[in-house]
Formats: sequence, structure tokens, C-alpha cells
Amino acid sequence: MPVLSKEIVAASSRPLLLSLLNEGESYGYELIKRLRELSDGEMEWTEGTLYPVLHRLEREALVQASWHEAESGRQRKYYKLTAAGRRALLEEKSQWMFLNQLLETLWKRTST
Amino acid sequence: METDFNLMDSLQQWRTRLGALSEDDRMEIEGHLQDSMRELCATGLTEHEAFLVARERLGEVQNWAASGPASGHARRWLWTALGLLGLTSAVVCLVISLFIPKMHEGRCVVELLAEKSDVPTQRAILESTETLVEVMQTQGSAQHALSAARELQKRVHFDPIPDTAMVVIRVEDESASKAAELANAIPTAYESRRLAMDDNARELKRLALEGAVDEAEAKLAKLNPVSSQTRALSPSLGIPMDELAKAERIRQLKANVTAAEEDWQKAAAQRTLDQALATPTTEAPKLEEIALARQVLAEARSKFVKFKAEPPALDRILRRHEQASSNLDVLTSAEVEHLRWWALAFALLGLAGLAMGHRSNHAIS
Repeated sequence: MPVLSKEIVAASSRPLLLSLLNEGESYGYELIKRLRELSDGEMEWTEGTLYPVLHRLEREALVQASWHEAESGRQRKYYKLTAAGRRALLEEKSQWMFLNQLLETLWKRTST
Repeated sequence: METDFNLMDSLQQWRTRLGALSEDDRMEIEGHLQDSMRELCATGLTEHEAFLVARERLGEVQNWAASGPASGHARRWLWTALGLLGLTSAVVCLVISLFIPKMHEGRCVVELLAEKSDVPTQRAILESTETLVEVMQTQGSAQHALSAARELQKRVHFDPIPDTAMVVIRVEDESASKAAELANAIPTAYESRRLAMDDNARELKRLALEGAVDEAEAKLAKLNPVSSQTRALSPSLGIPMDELAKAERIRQLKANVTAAEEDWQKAAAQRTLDQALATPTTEAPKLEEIALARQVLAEARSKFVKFKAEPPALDRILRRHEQASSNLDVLTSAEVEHLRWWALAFALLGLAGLAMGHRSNHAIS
């Protein structure tokens, strides 16, 4: 698997975050770990990528943050998808599906 | 080396590098650092190594950890609202200032012709409300001269020129010609008041001198009771006044004897007549008194005549060095000036507010 460019990582961060949070409530560190696991270590977010996007989603009211006590006893900030977030995820999904199909069509043509 | 590491100190030091983050962001990032450290420690790194690696992974936190959405947005809108409010207020102040009429200044320079010690008193008379009342009376405000004078007082400035008896009189008015007229009317009113005051003083002096003459005449008449007719005859007949007085008295006493009806009245009148005939013409001490009284009278009369001959010093009140003309300065009135300063302050505040709002917006993005 080739190393993903910064632009692709940045552009995909929004739909990926919405999708990960669609699985359930989570926090920053766990989201980074989860993406690493799902991509078998091929794709990794830095904190500098994750948190600004996460905060922007919060500002847009697509995710909602709340503080809960972690198992270590510390307070931890959890994020969960809102109804608006779920609608945004559906939109993102359709856009990415469309792009995927378009690219597949184009590449199939060039390969034949 | 490892034993020197203190996690709490290192965390504290790291926190200071976070800059102006909200408490919410700081707690979230610190939680992330500690999660990361715990995992690194699980792979066999020491606490110190784990801290260094986790810290490096986080990088320059203040560059990406935007402040909380609510506070960020609120701040942005607050700044923007403040900016708009400031600019609106500036425009309002500016518009109001445009509607306040322009002021003109009438200016004249006068010199008070008085003794150096008397200059402060004369200046007080010049600047007094009474002088301004007289000004307003000449301007046709006879009915409400006092209130008009008080109103005028707010627009008049007297600036004494140091070490001289000169005063610069400045009057502000919306009309240029009115400002000049009022500025010139003040010294005129002052002159008029001074004349009136001088007239009063002269009248009092005249009365005093007249009184002195009357008193001296009365005293003389008492000492030397000669009728005015007799007094008038004395020089032409060449007979001394006291001789005439005695003759007149004796004539009167004789008439009394003749007029008496009863015997006892006649006898009493005759006794008085005999006494008068036996008395010398004038007693010596009385003559001295009369001479002194005559001298006093002469002096009193002389003073009175001299006073009447003195012309009133009316031309020694004031000298005009500069008359107010229609070529007047246009002033920015104090209200307009204040409003423009406020407009400037509001405009700066408004611009600062908008700049801060823009900056907050940029930081959030």
C-alpha cells in the first residue's frame, strides 16, 4: 500500500471521522487508534489532523462532546454523532460513492 | 538520568507551553498525552521516554487546538457586534455634529485707563453680569435682560493680557455680525456704567459740598442775624453790618413797645429796648466767631465753585485698541469638538472590534 498523501488524508478525515463516530461514542486517542487498526497501520492521523477536524464538526453541531470519567479515574472528552451528523454522513457517503464510481469507470476505460 | 525525571514537573512545564488554550482543550489534550504515554510505557519505554515521545507526537498544540466552539463563536460575534456598534455610534456622532451650527467669534481689545491698583476692580466691572445686562438691554432684550445676560456670559471670554491693563474680549455667536456687535457692545456698556458710577459719585460730592456751604451760612446767620435786606443795604450805605443789625433790632423793639396794649406789657418791652440800647454794637468775641464763620463759608463756597468748574473725566475710562469686525474667526464649538472626538473614539473602537472579530474568525477556521 503506497503512503497516502497529506491532501488525501486531509480530504478524507471528515467522512472517516463521521463514520467512526457512527459506530459509537469515542474520544480522540481512541479514534486515532481505531483508524490505525482498521487500516492495518497504513493510515494514521496525527493529533494535529484529528483535533481541528473534530472541533470543527463540534462547531457545526455534527458531533456533540461531553465529559465522562475514564477507567483511569480521569475526566475524558467523548464525542458522539448528532442527528445532523448522521445526515451529514449520508451526504458524505453519497458524494464519496459517486466519486468512487466515477474514478472506477474512468480507470476501467483506460485499462481496456 | 532516569531518576531525575519528574512527571508532574514535566507536565507542568509542558502546560505552560500550551499558550492561551481553554481549560476544556487543555484537559482534552493532556488526557490524550497521558493515554499515549500509558500505551508507550506498555511497549517497554520508561516514563521519561514515553513522555518525550508522546509530547513530540502532539507537536505544537497551540497551532491546531482551536478553542471551544461556543466560546470562539461567542467571542467572534461579540467582537463583531462591538465593532459594528462602535462604527454606528461614530456615524451617529458625526451626523449630529454636522447639524450643530457653526460658531463665530467676535474679538476686540481694550485698555482700561485706571490706576494700576484699580485695574482689577475695573476688570471686575467690565466682566460683571451688570455690564452684560446693559449690553443685552441695548440689544433689545430689556424684558429678559438678566437671563439673556447669563446666557451671554457662557459665550463671552475675557482674556487679560499679562502685565498690562489690556483685555481681549471674545464673544461666540452663530451669527458673525452678531458676535462682532456683542464684542463691541461690551466696552460701550462698561463705559456707560462707569459714567453712571462717576455721575453718582459727582452727585454725592456735590451734595456734600452744598451741605457744607449751607451749614456755614446757617452758622453765620445765627451769629449775625441780619435780614437779607439789611445785608444787601450794608455795602451801599457804607454802614458796618453790625450797626445796621443793631438799628434793625432797636426798630423792632420800639415797634414792640408801641404795639403793647397793657401797661405791664409796655413796661416789659421798654425794659428790653433799654437793654438793647445799653448793649455795645457787637461784642468782641462774637466778632471773632463771625470772622471765622465767614472764612469757613468762603472756603466751602470756593470748593463748591471749583468742583462745578471741573469737567467729568469721561474720556479717561477706556481705550479701544482693536474693534471686532465682520472678518471673524469661525469656531468649532465645544459640543461639536466633543462629538467629533467621540466619533473618532467610536470609530477606532469599531475598527478594533471588527479586526478582533476577523481575527477570531480566522483562528476558528
